[in-house]
Amino acid sequence: MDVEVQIPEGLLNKIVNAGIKMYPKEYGGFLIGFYSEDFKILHITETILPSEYRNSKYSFERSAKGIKGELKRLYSLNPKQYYVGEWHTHPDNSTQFSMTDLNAMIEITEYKTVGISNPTLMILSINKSGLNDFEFYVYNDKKLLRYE
Amino acid sequence: MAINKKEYLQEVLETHKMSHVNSLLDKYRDKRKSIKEALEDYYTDKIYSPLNSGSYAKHTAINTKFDLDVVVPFKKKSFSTLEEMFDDVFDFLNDTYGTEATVRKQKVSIGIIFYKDDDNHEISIDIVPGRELNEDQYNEDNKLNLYVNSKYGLLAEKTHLLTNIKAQIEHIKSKDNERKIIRLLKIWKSSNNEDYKSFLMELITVKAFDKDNISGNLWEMLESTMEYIRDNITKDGFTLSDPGNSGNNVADTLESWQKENLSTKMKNMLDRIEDNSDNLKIYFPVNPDFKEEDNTKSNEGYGVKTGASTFSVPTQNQRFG
Amino acid sequence: MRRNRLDIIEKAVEQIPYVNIKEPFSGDVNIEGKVSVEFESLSEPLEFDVTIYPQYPFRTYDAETIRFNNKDYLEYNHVMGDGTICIHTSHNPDISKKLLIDFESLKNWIEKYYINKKSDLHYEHLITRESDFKGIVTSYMFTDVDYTFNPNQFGFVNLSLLSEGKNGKKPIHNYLTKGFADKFGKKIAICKWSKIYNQLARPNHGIFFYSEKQPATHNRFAYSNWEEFIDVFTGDFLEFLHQCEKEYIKKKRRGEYVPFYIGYNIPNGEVHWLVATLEIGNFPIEGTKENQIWTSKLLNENIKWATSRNSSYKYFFGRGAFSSKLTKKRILIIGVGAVGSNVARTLVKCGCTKIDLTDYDVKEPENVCRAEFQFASGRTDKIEEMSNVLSQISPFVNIHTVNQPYFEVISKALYGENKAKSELEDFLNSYDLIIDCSTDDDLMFVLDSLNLKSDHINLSITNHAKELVCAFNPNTYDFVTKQYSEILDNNIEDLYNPTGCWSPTFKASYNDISMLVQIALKKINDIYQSGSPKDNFIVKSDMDEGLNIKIIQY
Repeated sequence: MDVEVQIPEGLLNKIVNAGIKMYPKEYGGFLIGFYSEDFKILHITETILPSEYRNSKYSFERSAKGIKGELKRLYSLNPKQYYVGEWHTHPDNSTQFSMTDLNAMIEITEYKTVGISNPTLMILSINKSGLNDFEFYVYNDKKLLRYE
Repeated sequence: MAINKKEYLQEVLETHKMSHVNSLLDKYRDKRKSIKEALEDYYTDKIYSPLNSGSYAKHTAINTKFDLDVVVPFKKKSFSTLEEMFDDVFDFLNDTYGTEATVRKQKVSIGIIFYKDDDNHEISIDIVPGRELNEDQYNEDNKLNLYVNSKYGLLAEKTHLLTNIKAQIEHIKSKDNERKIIRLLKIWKSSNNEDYKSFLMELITVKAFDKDNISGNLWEMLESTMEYIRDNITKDGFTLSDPGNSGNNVADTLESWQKENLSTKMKNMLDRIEDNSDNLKIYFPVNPDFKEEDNTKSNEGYGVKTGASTFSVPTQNQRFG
Repeated sequence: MRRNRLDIIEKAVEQIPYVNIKEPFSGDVNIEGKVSVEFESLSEPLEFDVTIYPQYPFRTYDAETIRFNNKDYLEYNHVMGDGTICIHTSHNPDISKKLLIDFESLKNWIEKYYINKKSDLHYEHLITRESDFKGIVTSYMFTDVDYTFNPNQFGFVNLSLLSEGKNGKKPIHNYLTKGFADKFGKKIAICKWSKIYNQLARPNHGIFFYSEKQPATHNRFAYSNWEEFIDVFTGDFLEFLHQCEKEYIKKKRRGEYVPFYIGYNIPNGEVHWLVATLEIGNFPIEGTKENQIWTSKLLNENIKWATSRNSSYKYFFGRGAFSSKLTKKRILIIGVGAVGSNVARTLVKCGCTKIDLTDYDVKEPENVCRAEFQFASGRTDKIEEMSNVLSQISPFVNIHTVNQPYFEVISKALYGENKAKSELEDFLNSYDLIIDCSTDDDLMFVLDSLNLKSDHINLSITNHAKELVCAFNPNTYDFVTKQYSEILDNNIEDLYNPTGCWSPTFKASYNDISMLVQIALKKINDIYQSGSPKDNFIVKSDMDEGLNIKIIQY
């Protein structure tokens, strides 16, 4: 896929800091943004942190409880901003997605209230004090493609 | 016949994406995983967790020529000398993989080249052993001493090289434009059989963007970077400091005549492309294996389900690993 | 008119301050006189006979037409055997001005060689007064041997008649020295010519003597009389000479000539050979009886020197050649058409000695006009023709012709087959440089896929010889095919199809092609000489705004 993703540095820092706070456990959230007119570029503008979650060093489960209001507000902005994907951390581990991650993305895409067919998955490799690396994947047809 | 330079270069990058070789890449990852596990099982608490490095980790890999690199950080008290460490890792890998791969000592790494499989794929993984400088110091600043096995630029053999692989990866993190130019220069390097070091091209590109405020479309950025190399590489006192160790001047890995040649090459390339934009095809060829004859597919962007709006509410509970 | 010329000369010479006329100038055709030259740094005046020829002030046969002569100064440098002072002056059509210039040159000679006794840094070969043998001029060419001669060593010389021709109005016999044998006829040294020259037919032989010192007076003039060799030749040798003559007479060769080589070392360590002709039945020796023993003695007879030339590689290519970094290479040229034959011939003219050729094609008469072929040899294999042409140019080039099926069959039919591939690689890696002028894209593809350690250059020309494309491995196939498909405007609708569609060829003349090839080879030579990177380039010529030739560097 010939697509691009852009994330402002401030937002990246915000995500990283949220992740480090939970170290050494995994943590994550929703990615909010919008596509360019030609649907080639994804601008990520915001993250919503989950109100309920369960996590360990090797897993993270979030709930979408209570975010609908926020999604509505974002959609009313100009330009419209909406749910575009998910992020989570891999403490002391690589940015490679797991089979659980892929399955989650399949479920999300097939879910009836999700209108986009190529959600993004962002995985951040962190340590106790900072970011090692991060990676964007774009979901397409039961595969996660590494963003290049 | 003139071409649109920007669009052509985009196509070049597109056809060199790693995603075209996903199944091969999976094999690389599997091998890398098993090597890392083997190293961790064998060295247990003598090492910190192995770290992926190299072009793939830096997002500068191209699908025509790549390998995967793993850095193995050893603790200070693991070995008394770097040479012992290097030899021990070599012996271990040779014992473990010697029957299914060629294992060889390289400049600062140990190369494992697996024999071709049924698909005629040849997987090669480079293992870079390094040792922290003082006890527990690696956790603080990620610095490592590498063993220099054979002459490396100005470094003689059997010496050591202080560096910080993490800082090197960090250096071009989220530098998206730089990475595109680096990938183009690597495509030039590999298709024209130039043997300049990728690391050098990386550093000089980042420096060009820093110093020259490079902007514009893909061609304009490439052009400015090449002009920067042409005009600066031969200057007295031109340095490219290793982000992992500011004391290493990576520009020193080139002799002065090699710098002259690199500058001349950039000049010739710029002149030829100026003469005739078709010459881009000589220097930056598309990878014909992944050339999209039918443009409709590659133009596809992010999709929205038929009849749906982009206003999505995600799944209620979702587990990630 | 004559009177006038004499007056002008007399007046002009009188006005030169350091010259006094001792005997006034006179004569109808040649004007002769005697002068003395005197100036401050000269302790006593020097006298010269002056001869002015009718062509004066013009030079003729590349020589001055005024002579200053005095045999007393033979011992000084730059004096000819007849005592003529060797001067080189500049052109001037005015007699008075020319005289002034020429006397100034004479004065320079006096200061440099008479007063300061300068000797030049470069060695000059001995001057011999050459003469023919019964109306036939003979000439002998020699080259280096891997052998060190001992003082007073003697024996036989093996030679072959190379050619007969004309020298002035006289016939000339040219001989090639092939080697040396000891006095029993056993070979001791072989001259370093190419194989083909060392196997030359029409064998002949002569006699040699290796002298400890130069057989010369004033270190410059070769002896002119056999008696001068009295301290040089040994008794053993004179006896050998006597026995040889007896043998020749026995073989009924009385009256014929035998070449006699006299060798010596020159200051740079080379061996030089002077050759004289001896007439069988008239050798310059006689037997005398002393104390009941016959010994041979040299006669007071003039020596008939023949021409001898050192044509070793160093002398042969002394005036100009390619860098030794290129000439020392073992080279394979694939395809000897218009481009390949021009490359081959230029390499040989510029000193390359190890060249192999391959081509499957036959030379047709219509190939002659733009390739380095001759009409005279008719239809013949191109490589056969080319190896003859090249061997005739240089006596040092060894040409081998390579079995063509290697390239037409094995490389292609067995493409991808590992054993064939490594065999072909081994074969090609036995060369230092492979120049592919075949314009065979398939072969280029095959060669590009090989793992070659040798350098490999691909040369090809676009239609109408607008451009020459030069590509170095490993960047040959992609570069060349892209140049033709994407970059260059190679109009192939206008090809030359004289004899049918199976043999189309590009249109261009010998002049068009060789100009491009010469520029490319100049560039290639420079790359090897300077060690600069082997980057592909294009030589482009057009007549858009007058002739414009440029190298486009990739």
